[in-house]
Amino acid sequence: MYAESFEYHRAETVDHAIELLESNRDAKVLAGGHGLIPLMKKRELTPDTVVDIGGLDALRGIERTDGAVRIGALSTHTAVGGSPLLREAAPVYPRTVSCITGGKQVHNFATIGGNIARAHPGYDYEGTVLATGSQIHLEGPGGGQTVAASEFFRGALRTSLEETQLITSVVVPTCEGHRDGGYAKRKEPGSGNAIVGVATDIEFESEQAAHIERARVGVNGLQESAVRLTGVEDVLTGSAVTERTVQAATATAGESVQASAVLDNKKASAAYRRNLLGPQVRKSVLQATPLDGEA
Amino acid sequence: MSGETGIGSRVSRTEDERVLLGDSKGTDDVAVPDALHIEFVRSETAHARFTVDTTAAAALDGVVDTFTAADIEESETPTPGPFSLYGAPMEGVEYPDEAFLQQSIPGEKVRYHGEIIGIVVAEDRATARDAVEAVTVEYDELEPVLTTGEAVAEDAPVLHEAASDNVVFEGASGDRERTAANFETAAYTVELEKGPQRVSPSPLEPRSAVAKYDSNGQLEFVATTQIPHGYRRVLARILDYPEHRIDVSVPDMGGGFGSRQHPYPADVLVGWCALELEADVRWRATRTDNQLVENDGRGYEGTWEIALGEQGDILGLRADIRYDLGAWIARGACGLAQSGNSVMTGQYDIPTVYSHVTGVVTNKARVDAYRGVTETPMLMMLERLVDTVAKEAGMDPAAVRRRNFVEPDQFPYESASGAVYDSGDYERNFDLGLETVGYEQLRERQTELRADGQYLGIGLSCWVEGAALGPCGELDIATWGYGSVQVHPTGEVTVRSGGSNHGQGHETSLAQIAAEELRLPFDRVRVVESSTKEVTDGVGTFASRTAALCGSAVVESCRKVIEKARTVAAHELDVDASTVEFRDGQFRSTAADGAVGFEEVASLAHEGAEIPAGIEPGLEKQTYFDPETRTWSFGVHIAVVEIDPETGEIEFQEYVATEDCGVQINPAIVRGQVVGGIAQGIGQTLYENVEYADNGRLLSGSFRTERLGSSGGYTLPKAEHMPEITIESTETPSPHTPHGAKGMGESGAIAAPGAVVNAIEDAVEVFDTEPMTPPIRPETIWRAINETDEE
Repeated sequence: MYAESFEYHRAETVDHAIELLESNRDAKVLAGGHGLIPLMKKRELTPDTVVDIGGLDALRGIERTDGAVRIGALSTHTAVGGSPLLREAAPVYPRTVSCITGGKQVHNFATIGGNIARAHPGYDYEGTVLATGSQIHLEGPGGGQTVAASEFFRGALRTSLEETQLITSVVVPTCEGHRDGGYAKRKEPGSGNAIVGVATDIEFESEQAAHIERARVGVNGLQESAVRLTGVEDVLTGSAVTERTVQAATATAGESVQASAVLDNKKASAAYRRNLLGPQVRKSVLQATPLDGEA
Repeated sequence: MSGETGIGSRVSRTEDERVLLGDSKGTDDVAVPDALHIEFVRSETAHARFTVDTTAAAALDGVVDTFTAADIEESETPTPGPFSLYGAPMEGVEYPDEAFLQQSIPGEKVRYHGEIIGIVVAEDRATARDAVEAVTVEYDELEPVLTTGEAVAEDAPVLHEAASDNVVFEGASGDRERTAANFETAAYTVELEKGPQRVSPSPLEPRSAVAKYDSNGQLEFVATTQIPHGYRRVLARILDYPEHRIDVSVPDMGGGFGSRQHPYPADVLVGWCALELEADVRWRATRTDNQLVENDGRGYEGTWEIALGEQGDILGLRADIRYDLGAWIARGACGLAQSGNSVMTGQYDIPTVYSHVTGVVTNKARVDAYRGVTETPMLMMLERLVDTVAKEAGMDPAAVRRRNFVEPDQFPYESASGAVYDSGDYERNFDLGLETVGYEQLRERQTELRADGQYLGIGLSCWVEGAALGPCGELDIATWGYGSVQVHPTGEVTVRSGGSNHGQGHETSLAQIAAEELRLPFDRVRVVESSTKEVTDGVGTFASRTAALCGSAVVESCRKVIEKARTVAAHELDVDASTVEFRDGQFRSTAADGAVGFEEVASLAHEGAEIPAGIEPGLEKQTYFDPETRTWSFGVHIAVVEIDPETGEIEFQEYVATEDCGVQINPAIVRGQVVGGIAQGIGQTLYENVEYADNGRLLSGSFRTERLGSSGGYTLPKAEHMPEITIESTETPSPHTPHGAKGMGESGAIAAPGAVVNAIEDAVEVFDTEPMTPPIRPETIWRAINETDEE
């Protein structure tokens, strides 16, 4: 298939990109291309202008800042998955990325910015971004803006991102103590997206990881946007790491969920998705704790 | 066996390097400088009267011409005739009316989403595609019927005036009264329904055709077809163009699976454009177009029943089947219904059967052959019935099967459903399967695990595969296999086969046959197929025919070559031909010393100087092999799964497949065919489903879609979804082919569905679930388990 004709611009700087977005109102941003280009080839999207931000090195890199790790918006899945910094400071990120479909070829191109900008309910980052309390940095004509994840994700394929704004980075607050994470995904066999994906982010009291200081659990695929499983969090936070704790957490998995907001479609019914929560929470929590036998 | 590369050798396939390294060329890769590009205007709705206006499109820069049905009618180039049906219809069935035979392009009414209603020809592909969007179509929409139930309901919308009830054929086979009587007196009867399901064969290359027209009036096609000579024949008739002025060749295609066993409207129209414009033209479907209109497979639904006696004897089978044909009867569709009925008894000796089939039209793409064809639904349901009735009778499913197999001394065996099986040894092969999987231990383990709340399931599926169809006299169609062998003066050999390799490995297997017969190293044999220019004639490759039919023709031609070579050698040795033997690649006489090598004989024959009087020069023979009967392969598939009742997730623990296809030319190729078929069988059972919206538009037009609310497009199984497969073989040679090989290749697609469904239902037996129908997803299983809990 061929896309409809369009004008192509390569942005030199972030400001230049924003200028281009301002002066071309029917424009789309091209990052890794694995979301945009298939849609254009199928002619489901027919922008007049494509603004290629692939050359903006300022949007790359994963580095420590004061009390956080900053992930550049153009960081590929490969970069995030292989980052020793994230593996140590927020392991749920690399764990999640390893479950994103597409294999090496997609992972070498697709970016975190592109992924969260699309905000497809079946994509895998949202639960993690939400659970870790990460913030999204945007740049636009009015300057810079920092948005909490819960503010940014507004529904299926909807975010707070304006047409003239760019995501520049995702900032992950770090903690002093030992941290671990898990992502358990039930994959839809056709698209490879998540029917239900549970991201668990745990801060332990100490290196021994015997006691949970704080646990946060975010699930994507369940509803239009990712949500926190506060019932599970309440059971885990402040508890000892035992099989009994995990079972108690699993048992409450569905409780804090707004049943009417659960997606109900041909991929999976709402009842089935709710049913999957318990088992997926269990798998995810086990990944994040020493109970699964891993170091 | 000839060294390491004759029959029975696992020699690596000649084809593999190019197909695995991405060097294979498809039809769309063939370079044709200055060819014009065709794009089709396709109906966007499932059922409507329409008018089409191509004026705006024709005016675009780069557009060479546009055609509608009206334009084609007006033109002096003959209007294409309708498609005819292939093969004999069911016995005793009312033969479908001429009015149902599809025209390549309708003028007034569309009957399925994607039906071609206009043609654009342009200088390049992008212009052609843009031009299609400039064509205006007005639809006066009619209500579509999308299931056979809807189609046969009273007051349903009518697709074809000649069938006011949307039924285009109806027939039955078997003995209705005697079967009913057996059901009356049976100790146990079980009835199972099969829900409708269509699958999409999905070859690697979407359909494509190139038609070149030269100043001599020669029309040359390169096309994605399984039947190059047949394609020529059909298009010659439909286009009213002399066959000997048409050529067809097929490069690599990446599978056909039956969906390319017959030409399509697009093929006809590409040819017509070449004739009309007297120019080279070409077309390629997008993947979406391909999923839209390439023939679907399966499309059966209905009720199947089994009757079992007190001791476990199967007394009768009954089936009432509705066949969803789609909007038009595809060329093979009637014949499939008949052949399905004939295999309904599988491996068992069943005294009475009755099957009633109705062919129904619906506003969807056509249904035709797909790997396994009608053996798949018939044997899936039979094997499910056997398992279910065995359990009802409190008997082991394996024991019931053993009790009912056709015995070795009953062959050739004529079943109550009219099939004549040539040879078989079912119980021996069955035992091999059970032993390989460790059946007894598995049943023990199953009981142990149940106590722990873990659910293992074992599914048996005995299968037969009727292949290499023939003889011609019985089927009333050309069904021979063509094979010629030419020995070059240097002693190398070119084998020409009337088949058309699209993944089956003929370049290798047919070379192995010649290598075996002629005692040559394999690499001195070259196989040519898929070309009307290079091969005199052929019927093509489908229904697992080539190894048995073209292979037999190659064997016979090799033997004719040796026969002639003996006389040339005898002349050279100055002895009587009856004293000459061919052994180890040499011709020797019992009446004299010395030997003449194969190469030397070939050289002598070519020169023609030192050959016997009355013998022509050259060393080349051809054969049209008409079999006495079709061949019957058989075996059993055993799937072992574990099911998590909390989530319905299925995990394969084991998969054992036994195969008896007679003599195996190349066991590695046999394995490849079995594994590939299993992948498609698992795909059908757990993943694949052609999906239409309520308005008749196809939803599953892509392998991957992120459209919210859809079921994700057409889901093909991936490597990660496949079990480890263990294959064991027995060899019961065919009594009717010179090399003993039988047709094979479809067993995986035939047997896997029954094995997997049986395994799933065996695993969840304790939950007393309602029977499930493919595609079976984890949610399906979860619902089946939980719906019974909520009482």
